[in-house]
Amino acid sequence: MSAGPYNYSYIFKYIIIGDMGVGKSCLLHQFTEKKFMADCPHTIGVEFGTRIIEVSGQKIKLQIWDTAGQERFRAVTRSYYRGAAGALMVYDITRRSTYNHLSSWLTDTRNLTNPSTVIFLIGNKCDLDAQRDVTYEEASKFAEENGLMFVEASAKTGDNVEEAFLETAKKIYQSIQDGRLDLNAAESGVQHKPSQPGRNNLSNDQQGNKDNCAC
Amino acid sequence: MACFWFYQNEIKLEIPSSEDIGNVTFYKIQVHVSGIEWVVLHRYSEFYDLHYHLVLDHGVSKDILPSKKVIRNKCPEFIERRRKALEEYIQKIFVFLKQTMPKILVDFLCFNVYDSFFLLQDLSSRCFLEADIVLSTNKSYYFSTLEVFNSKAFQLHAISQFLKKTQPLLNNAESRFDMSPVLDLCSQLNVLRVQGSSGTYLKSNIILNKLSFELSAFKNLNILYINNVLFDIIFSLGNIRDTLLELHVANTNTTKVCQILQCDVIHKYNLESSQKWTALEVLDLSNNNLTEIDTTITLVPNLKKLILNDNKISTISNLSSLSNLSYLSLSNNLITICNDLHLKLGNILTLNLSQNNIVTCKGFSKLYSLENLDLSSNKITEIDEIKHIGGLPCLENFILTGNSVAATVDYRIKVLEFFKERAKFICLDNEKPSQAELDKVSVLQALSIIKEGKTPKLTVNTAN
Ligand SMILES: Nc1nc2c(ncn2[C@@H]2O[C@H](COP(=O)(O)OP(=O)(O)O)[C@@H](O)[C@H]2O)c(=O)[nH]1
Ligand SMILES: [Mg+2]
Repeated sequence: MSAGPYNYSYIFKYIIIGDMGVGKSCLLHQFTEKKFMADCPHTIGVEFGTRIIEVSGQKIKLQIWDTAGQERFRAVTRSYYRGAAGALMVYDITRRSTYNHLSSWLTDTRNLTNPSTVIFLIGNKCDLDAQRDVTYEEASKFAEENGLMFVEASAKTGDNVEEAFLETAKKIYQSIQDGRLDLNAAESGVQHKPSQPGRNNLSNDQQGNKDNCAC
Repeated sequence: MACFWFYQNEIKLEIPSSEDIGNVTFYKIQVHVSGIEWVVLHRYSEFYDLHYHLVLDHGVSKDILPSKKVIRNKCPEFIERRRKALEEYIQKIFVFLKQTMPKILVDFLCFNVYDSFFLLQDLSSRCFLEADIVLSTNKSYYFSTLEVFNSKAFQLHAISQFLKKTQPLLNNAESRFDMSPVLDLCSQLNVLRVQGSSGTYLKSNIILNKLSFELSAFKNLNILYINNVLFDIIFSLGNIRDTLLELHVANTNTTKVCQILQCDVIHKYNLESSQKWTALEVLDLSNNNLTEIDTTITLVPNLKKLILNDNKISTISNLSSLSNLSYLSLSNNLITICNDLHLKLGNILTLNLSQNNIVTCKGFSKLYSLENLDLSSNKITEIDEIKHIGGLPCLENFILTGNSVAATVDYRIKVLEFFKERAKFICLDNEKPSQAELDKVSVLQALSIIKEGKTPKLTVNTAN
């Protein structure tokens, strides 16, 4: 019975970043639970979610790190960029300041991830079009200039949420296919799983041999 | 440490006594060089050999050595007379030869072992002969394992002295040998092991750990092992902050990380970016007396692996900014409380906290990145504590032996049950779950799902 959900061939790691309150945790919740969580508690440090998706007939497990946007957690959340195959960078279309901070988030992402990491820009809360503070056109231009994928989405209505997560996965999968992403690189953020769970042997050896770096 | 050229006129040689070892009488030569002294044992035949060469090559007159005696040479009066005569002999030839100091006399009196000038001379010729071999193989030098290189701390001191040019007569003496092979080797070495000692050095009153040294001669060091050295005696680290990839320090008296990473800095907590260890990825400070991880650890921004086993650390602190840290080992320390570890450690893969005093696992529940967790030999008694571990989505190896919880009935099944569908991926106490265990776990899980299914109805009933 448990064989079903574990039958996947890849693990992709994602990180969700952006200012506090832009809706990162809600986006994750919407994606994993297909529900809007209006009174989502503040993220302390880091949260985590998973979902199995399908890209070109391959089952892929997404492991998603949802980080706290507050400055005081910045140090500890920075470490999660390491080994991320995808980075979802979120701003709130009704709060200009969250958009203005994107360049600093982008700098962190570029500095702390590897060159093959796919960065996807999400303008969240597009259900609140009346309070819009950032136009679609300027954000779209920003994304283009920086080579990012981009959508406006709503964690509330679920609009474009699936698309953002899935498009990122497709792009990563493409990179694997073209050989641009090296599966064996330690920090690629992608793990290839053999169809049968037989990994324990390997990790056992690593444990026994403690002098070897496990990274 | 002695320095021949500096104290040339204060050197005293004595033969105060003799010693029988086996069936042979050894005469005990005591060499004094301004406060430093050492002992060399030689039997008569060795004096005889020395004398033979000195006569042959260095113009020593033939008849000054007390004569050979074949019979009755074991009687105390004879030995005492011979001791006196040998003492006179060695004093006489020393006065005669101290300007030239032929190698055979240097070795006879062990100046090459205890005196910085002659030690460097030896080192230099040794380096000249062996440097190419060392450098062409793996650029690693196990100084302490070669007979001549008895102790690296000692040689480092000699090299440092040389570099400081604190030896006034050195310029005059420098022409006698070429130091460049030593400096050349040092500058190219990739791996260095420094072995100190708190006792006296061989048969001398020299205390190694009182000899200061520096590392500026080493321009390309990647891996440095320091064992049993006092850090107060290292007065310069040279440029190793920029080149070192691995630093291993053990058996020192240090209680704080700053005493090691900032050993050459006076204001240890004044962290300047020029003091960053920019290349360092592995830091192993096991087996010291560290009581805390102080803020100087942030001077190692690219640290991947931190090993602090066998210290006296009670809290995990100052690690949150190390964004590359993926391996942390704190086995055998004094850690009792681990609250909210996910705010202290980021994306960590391996965590070893065995042999501490941990009671609760609550603080681990959000360390979602963990793959290997060793909590063996702690104070975990309640099986319910494991629920905080059960939700870790990437965990593969979990070690819990040596806790009293491991004596619970059906311990493995109960622990594995907390991992739900992931139970089969968990290697518990270095053992994968057996099929029988997994079957039991699934039965228990099925039961609890049924139970859960009933619970809401119950609460509705009580509410009514
Ligand atoms: N109207 C609307 N509100 C949202 C949306 N996403 C999040 N929110 C609200 O924004 C607030 C912050 O969301 P949260 O996910 O905690 O933000 P985070 O700090 O980035 O994780 C919450 O009150 C959410 O209810 C959205 O798409 N539309
Ligand atoms: Mg949040």
